[in-house]
Amino acid sequence: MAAKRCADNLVSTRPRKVMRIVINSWSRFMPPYIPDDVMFNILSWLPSKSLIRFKSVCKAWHAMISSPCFIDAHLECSKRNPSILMVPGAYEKQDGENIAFMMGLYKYHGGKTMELVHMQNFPQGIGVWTRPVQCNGLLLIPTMNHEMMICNPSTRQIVFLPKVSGNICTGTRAGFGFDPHSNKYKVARSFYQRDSETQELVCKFEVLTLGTNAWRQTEDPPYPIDALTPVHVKGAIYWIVCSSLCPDPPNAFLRFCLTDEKFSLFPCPPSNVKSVRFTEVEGELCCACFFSETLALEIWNCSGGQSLEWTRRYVIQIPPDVVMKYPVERPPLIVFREKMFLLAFKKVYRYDIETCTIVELASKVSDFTCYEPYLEKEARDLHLFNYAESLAPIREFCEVTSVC
Amino acid sequence: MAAAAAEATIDGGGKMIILISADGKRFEVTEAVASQSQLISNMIEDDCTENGVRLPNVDGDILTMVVDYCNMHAGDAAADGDTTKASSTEELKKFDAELVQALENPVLFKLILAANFLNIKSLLDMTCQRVADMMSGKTPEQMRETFSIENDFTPEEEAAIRQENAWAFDD
Repeated sequence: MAAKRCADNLVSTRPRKVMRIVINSWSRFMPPYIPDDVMFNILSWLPSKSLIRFKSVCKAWHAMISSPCFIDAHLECSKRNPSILMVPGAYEKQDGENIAFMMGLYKYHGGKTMELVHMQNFPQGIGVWTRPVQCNGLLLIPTMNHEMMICNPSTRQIVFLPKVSGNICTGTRAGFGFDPHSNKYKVARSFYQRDSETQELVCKFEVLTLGTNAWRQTEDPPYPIDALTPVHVKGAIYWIVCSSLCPDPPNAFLRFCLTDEKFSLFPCPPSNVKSVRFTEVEGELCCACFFSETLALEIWNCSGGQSLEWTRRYVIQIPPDVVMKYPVERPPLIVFREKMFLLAFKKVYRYDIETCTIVELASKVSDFTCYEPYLEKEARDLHLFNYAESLAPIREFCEVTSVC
Repeated sequence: MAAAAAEATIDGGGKMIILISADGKRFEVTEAVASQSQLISNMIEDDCTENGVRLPNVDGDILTMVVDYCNMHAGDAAADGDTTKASSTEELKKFDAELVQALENPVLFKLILAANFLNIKSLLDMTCQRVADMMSGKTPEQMRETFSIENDFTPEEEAAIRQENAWAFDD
């Protein structure tokens, strides 16, 4: 009964009368009958939040919106209208350690504004997170303390994944992707152990199929893997070889196939630079290469297919003042679609493709509205990625769940 | 008469097809334009367009829009160019945006049903997306009212569903 009263209150606070008038003028001209498949098509273009609300319209809509084929169709539609998500990393000190109690996910629409789409609370606190990895609207959030979570910002669900194997090196990264053959999501991570006889560092690799309870160790990677966030493109995860641990590194990336769980070498773009960073744009592998002497940033993309051809899409001249304050070891994070182009060194910039100018967007935690004003410091990290909304339920991925 | 016209060809060499609306209006279009409709494309393959294609559930004014849309987008589909019809991507986007923005609701829904019947995927997606834009942000009550849907949940069931996702009901 208490629950019902609560629901009634929700409705009664709405400005019903005004909306009714608008809607009535709508409904007067409605065609008598809209076929189910047309309604399916219409609904699949709606934002997740509206759909979650519309589950309470009637049983038929509830069943349709919850069905796997609708969830797939909706994801395909939202992939056609993707948005850029920004995640600033802000921590509080507790017993000398950086702890995060919240994570704000912001959508960037253009201009200088960012819209908070979801604020994920972590009442227990989590360690410093590495760059969240996106796949089909789901985010993998790994932390330096080897915690791992999967979050669906569109349904506001989060699950914690099973414990990972011990690692003697900090800063190894996890990848996250979808295997089209088994129809399963998989998390993959590299980690380092010391060989009991030679005492040398050995790079190991393990995979967790979401929905199962244990990490499975795979074959060892052919080369040690660098602490750089990998990217998932079409059923494979791409990693960079750690050149400091490898006397004779190949001029290639490591490609981990999510279907057969095997590694292969994948050619680098024909640009003579070692410092690269991955991103995924419109389902293609993209690679940013930064030349610190000339301050030129090259963006390459690989069309995939049989020929594996790399094409140079952009060359961007980075103004000296952008990189002067912070020595740049790696290329910036980049994300683009159509005419929107963002890059993040320590701060987030918007690059205008037509005028070739760079404008600063965000740098301080206070630029993001969900954080307390006392956190008047620079965000430690700003993560950027293309994002499409998904209604996929993730509770089945793990028994331990929490919903904010 | 219709058969003769349907056999006629234009300079580009494309065969012409006659479309006949519910109220008897006739539209002469090239095969390339018409075959953007999967329904008509199938009919062309089966060779049953010679006497014109009757579309008993599409009104003339709606068919005018459909034909305009298909003419505009023929550039996408036409293999060997009737270049006067092929439009740039920018122009197409502008045309599409203006087309759907200008529509009154009753016309929009008729256009959706026509696109669905004729099976023109891009037009159907575009018009459905327009309706979705109008629905976004509305309440479940408004949806029931608009689409004359009966609420078949018990009050307890409805309350449970709402409570499960209470955040989605915040503005």
